[in-house]
Amino acid sequence: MNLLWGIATDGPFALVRAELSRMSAPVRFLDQQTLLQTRIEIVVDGGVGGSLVTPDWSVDLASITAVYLRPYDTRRLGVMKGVKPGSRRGQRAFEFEDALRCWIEITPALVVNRPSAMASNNSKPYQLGLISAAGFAVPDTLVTTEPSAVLEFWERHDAVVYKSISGVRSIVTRLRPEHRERLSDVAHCPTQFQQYIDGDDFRVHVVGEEVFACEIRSHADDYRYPQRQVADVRLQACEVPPDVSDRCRQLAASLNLSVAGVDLRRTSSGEWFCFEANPSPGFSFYEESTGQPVAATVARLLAGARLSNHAAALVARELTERCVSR
Amino acid sequence: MLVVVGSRHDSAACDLVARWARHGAALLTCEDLSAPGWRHWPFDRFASRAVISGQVVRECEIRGVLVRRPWVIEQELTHIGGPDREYVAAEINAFLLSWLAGLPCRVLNRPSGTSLCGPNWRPLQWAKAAACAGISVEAARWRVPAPPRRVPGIAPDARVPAIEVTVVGDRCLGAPNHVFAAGAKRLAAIANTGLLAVRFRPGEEAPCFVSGNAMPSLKTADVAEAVCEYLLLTDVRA
Repeated sequence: MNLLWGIATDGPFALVRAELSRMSAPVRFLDQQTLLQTRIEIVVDGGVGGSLVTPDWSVDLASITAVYLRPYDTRRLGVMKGVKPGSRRGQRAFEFEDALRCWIEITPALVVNRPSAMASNNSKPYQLGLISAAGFAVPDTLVTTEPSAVLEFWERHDAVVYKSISGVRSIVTRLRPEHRERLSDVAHCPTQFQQYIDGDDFRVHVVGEEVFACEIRSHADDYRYPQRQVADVRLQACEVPPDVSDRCRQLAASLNLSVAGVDLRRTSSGEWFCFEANPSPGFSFYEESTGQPVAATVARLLAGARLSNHAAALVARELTERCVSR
Repeated sequence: MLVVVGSRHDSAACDLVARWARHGAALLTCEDLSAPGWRHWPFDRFASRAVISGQVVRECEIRGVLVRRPWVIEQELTHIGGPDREYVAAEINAFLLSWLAGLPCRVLNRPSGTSLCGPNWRPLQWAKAAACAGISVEAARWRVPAPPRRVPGIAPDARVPAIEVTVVGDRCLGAPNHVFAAGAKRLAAIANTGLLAVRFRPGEEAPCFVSGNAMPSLKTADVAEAVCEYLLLTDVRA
């Protein structure tokens, strides 16, 4: 049984759901908007079991072999409009989500992706260290509250970008002369600056062992937000060198991500830089233009999770034996 | 110097700074994160600078760090304008995660991604990890919505006081025997924490797991001293 948790209209979510339906795979769709009407019970007694009961269906949690999740911020859900966080309904909603996330962390099912694994993306410089350890070149980076340090960094690298450290408002912007008068603002909040790397953008989607590469042509500083600079974006399916594909697979594996969207840039000298590994990639945007079967591959990964489940059980048993023998 | 990452309203953190004064202990508050002077070079820690209790210090001067908070919450940032607090809190947490994870000195506990101090596990996650560590665990449940309250009464086991065992690096304090100590150490290894308090209920055959806490109070003098000694040991990437 596959459990999908998210919003029906979300692009990647809708595509994966449609593919699973096409494959006639057993699916339970847990609409995030029903969180106030859904009940959950989790039981830990050697194994992990329990039940999930919605207004339309119920499921034995032990029967779930794979989970695909793309939840939105609970506070911004339509169903939460007018619900105060401290109110009874608010507490009920947050407690349900907390319990569900707890189960997602401890279930032996295949999860795409566990929140704990996705967390590295909440700190860009932290994740950059993990990316570097996976063998990719990364841009020189400074996080600072010191305006003079920004100027020194800018002098060292002719072109510099700034972007948020967390996942909030994470839009890459070039540092321009008009920003000089605002540099004193960095004293209030650590701010991330990076050497600008000139080159061609690539997005590589890793799905299990499969890799889908796509080249992006855009003049925007951040092609994900072209409307900010009235720039166009063109996407084209492509191949990347085998060693780059391998590094993308290794990076996703090292981050415990079964599915990841890896952002790369190839310089004119052929060097490959990596900026980020997105743990919940919006691949529908790329799939629309390239026709690459990313969603179908995610669906196959989920539907074939019995093997992964078995592997997880083996890993758990091995870990237990290792712990007990220490 | 020793650094305690915590709030100036956290009396336990302030007490530890006072207790460790002879080692140059200082409190790193959220106000320090909004002060000029930070230079965090993720790939050049020797050149990095931090702001601790209002003073700019070289990272290599920091001998050890104790983390006393799971994250910085926006309500603490009274020095930041209201509309920006949520964003600044997210940025400060993301920054601290990167900074603490990469420090070359000893850190108790290093961040996990979901918390600035070790794993931010819920009780059921601790129970599953304890079972994995070979510790006896009673069946644990979580229901939402919660079931109606039962008739007040104390379960027979609850009358037996729990025993708290604290793991500090390789040491284990408060354990009545090696079974408690070994179980707590195995759980700390699975949780990837150098500092962990584990509560057990004594059983006839084996101690039974009650709870795990990666951010114990450190109010006991011998535990606070053990943490200090651990932080002052000079090795790399403990």
